[in-house]
Amino acid sequence: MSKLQDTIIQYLEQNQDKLLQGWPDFVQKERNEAILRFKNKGFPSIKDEKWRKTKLKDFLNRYFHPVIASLVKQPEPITECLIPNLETKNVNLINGYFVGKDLLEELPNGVIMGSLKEALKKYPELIAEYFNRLVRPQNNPLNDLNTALFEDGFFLFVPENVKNFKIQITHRLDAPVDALINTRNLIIAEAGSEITLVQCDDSNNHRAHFATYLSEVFAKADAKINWYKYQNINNNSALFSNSYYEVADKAQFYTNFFELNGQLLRNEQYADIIGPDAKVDLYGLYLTDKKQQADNVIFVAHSSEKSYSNQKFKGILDDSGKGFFNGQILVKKDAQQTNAYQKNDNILLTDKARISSQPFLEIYADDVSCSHGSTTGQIDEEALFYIRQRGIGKRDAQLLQLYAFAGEIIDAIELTELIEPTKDLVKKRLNGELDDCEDCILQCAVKS
Amino acid sequence: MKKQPILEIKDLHAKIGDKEIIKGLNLTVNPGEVHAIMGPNGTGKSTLANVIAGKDGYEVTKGEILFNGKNILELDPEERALEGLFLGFQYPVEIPGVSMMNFMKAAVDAQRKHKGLDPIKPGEFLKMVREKQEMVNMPDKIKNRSVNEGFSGGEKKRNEIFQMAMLNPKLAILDETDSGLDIDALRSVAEGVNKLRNNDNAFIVITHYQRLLDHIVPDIVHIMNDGKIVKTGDKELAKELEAKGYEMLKEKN
Repeated sequence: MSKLQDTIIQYLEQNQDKLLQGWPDFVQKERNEAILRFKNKGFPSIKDEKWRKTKLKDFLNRYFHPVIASLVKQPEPITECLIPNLETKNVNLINGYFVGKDLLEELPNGVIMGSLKEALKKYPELIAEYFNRLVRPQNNPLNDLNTALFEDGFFLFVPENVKNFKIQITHRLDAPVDALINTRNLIIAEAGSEITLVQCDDSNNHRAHFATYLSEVFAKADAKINWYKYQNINNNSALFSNSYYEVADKAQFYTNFFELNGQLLRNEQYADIIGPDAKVDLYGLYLTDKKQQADNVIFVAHSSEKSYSNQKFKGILDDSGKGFFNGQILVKKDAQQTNAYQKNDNILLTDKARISSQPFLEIYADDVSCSHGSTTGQIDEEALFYIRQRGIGKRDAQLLQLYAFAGEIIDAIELTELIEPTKDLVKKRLNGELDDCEDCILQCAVKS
Repeated sequence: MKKQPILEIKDLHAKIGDKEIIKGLNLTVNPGEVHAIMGPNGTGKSTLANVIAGKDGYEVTKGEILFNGKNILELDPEERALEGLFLGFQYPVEIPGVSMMNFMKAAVDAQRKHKGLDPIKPGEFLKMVREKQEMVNMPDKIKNRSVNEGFSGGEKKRNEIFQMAMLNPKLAILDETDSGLDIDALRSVAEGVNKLRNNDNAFIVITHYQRLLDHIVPDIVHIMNDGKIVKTGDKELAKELEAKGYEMLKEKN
């Protein structure tokens, strides 16, 4: 058993009552079951198919403080994630705790947003309908860990037909000691609603964090959700973001994750399309160098006919950077006239960079259109020579090409105001500038 | 006073892997001159162009290449370009995602930086683009797209000439720029080259066909065979070659 596992199990055993105190019954139930499962199973090993390529050992052999208290004594100024001057709501979470003057806001249009902990106190029956419902069949150790230990997270409820609701969420890792951070999020988009979430996962110091962000998102009939995420955490930290989506008929679900920095960034997305005529688009760009690793695990299930799903992930791997892409499509028997696609393209810049790209298609309906594809290559030498022959230096020529490669994922952005900031972020990352923030005394937030 | 040659190639030997392609080539190009290089397929014409431009994968085993008196064999492709060398590619590369305008601005700025100048201002750049576009009769669509993406063969070749106009090189090597062109495109290409021709620059036109040379009239014609220049003459030589075919190379000189 690993050191971290020991630490956690010890904590679970010594704090049995404290962990259940104050939570509604249904949370206690899930928590108890999660604790039992974690005690029995522990962390995934390389024997697990989806973890074969991920080096957890370095993290599991360390000590992390299992639960840290909320640091924030007074309300801090709330920062926007990426776009200043955009008409959005802005919320912040620090080390898994929702911070701000209003821990739970109820807006005139019926939107409820804020701390999940507060929401559980005020709206337990509402949340009971949804909590852990999507996660339960997919229980894995990191979900169990999250369910066992989360103290807080983000809650959003958008009523029927509320359109154009935009929110920027910043999750900041800023622990005073090496720590476990478990954040639990729940988002409910009622029928016909439209939500755009812009999320920044940042760190504000160099401490090692082992963080799980577990999100359940419900897109009811004809709801539209666009979720953009920018992950830029320090190279001592691991962030496991497991996101579960239930997509009803005619709903449109779109995610686009920019995985920029972190020792280990793992994004698992599970989309269950339960109604017809729904649309799921999952995009991602991962840029790894040094000894970083970016994992993307996707599972899209089509349970109903005439729906569309698309997975498009691109990666650039430098130095000894690693990438893992595991993309599954399941088309059930009744899901006729499904269109489901998957593409993963990678560029390796060195001999030591590594990518493992695994597609899985399980198709039980007979009238469908599905495809998958994966490419792994190097920078096009012919194109490089062409660019250099025009007087552009080798490094600049490479940057031009890499940026062009990443362009496809940037072009997929639908929120216009995000395009230029994203371009800048990607440019800076490719040029090594974002790394400077690691050693910079000023510790800029992503938007600087 | 005699001007210094723009290009002097002395006893050049070059190979790809184990195969020697250039087997002792000599060539001198002076300012104001247009040279044509003709010859059968596989004789090393494109290899010569690539070796001069500094492409990876070729090893120069003997000889030297002087550009304005400077040995360029140790220079990277971009350094040779900044010295004033331009290669019009036989097969221009498609670079999806890199906009033609960004690409050209980067190239123009690289040149300016080399000369100690600031980057070109956007307004000035647009003016320059319009000017050169007109000069070489290049359609708008080319400049609004990614580099060569979705271009026909003829459009790609015209794009080479447009880039040449933008960069105004001392020596332009056009590698089979006429292949795949219809007569109109050919005329446009030739017009562009002729407009750029002056007493200070030079061109090396690599071609299979005499007809381009009706429009870009060369001062000197070379025939290359088996990695060497085997015959040199004036524009009449090209006509003789067209009439007699490459069989004439087997004749005693």
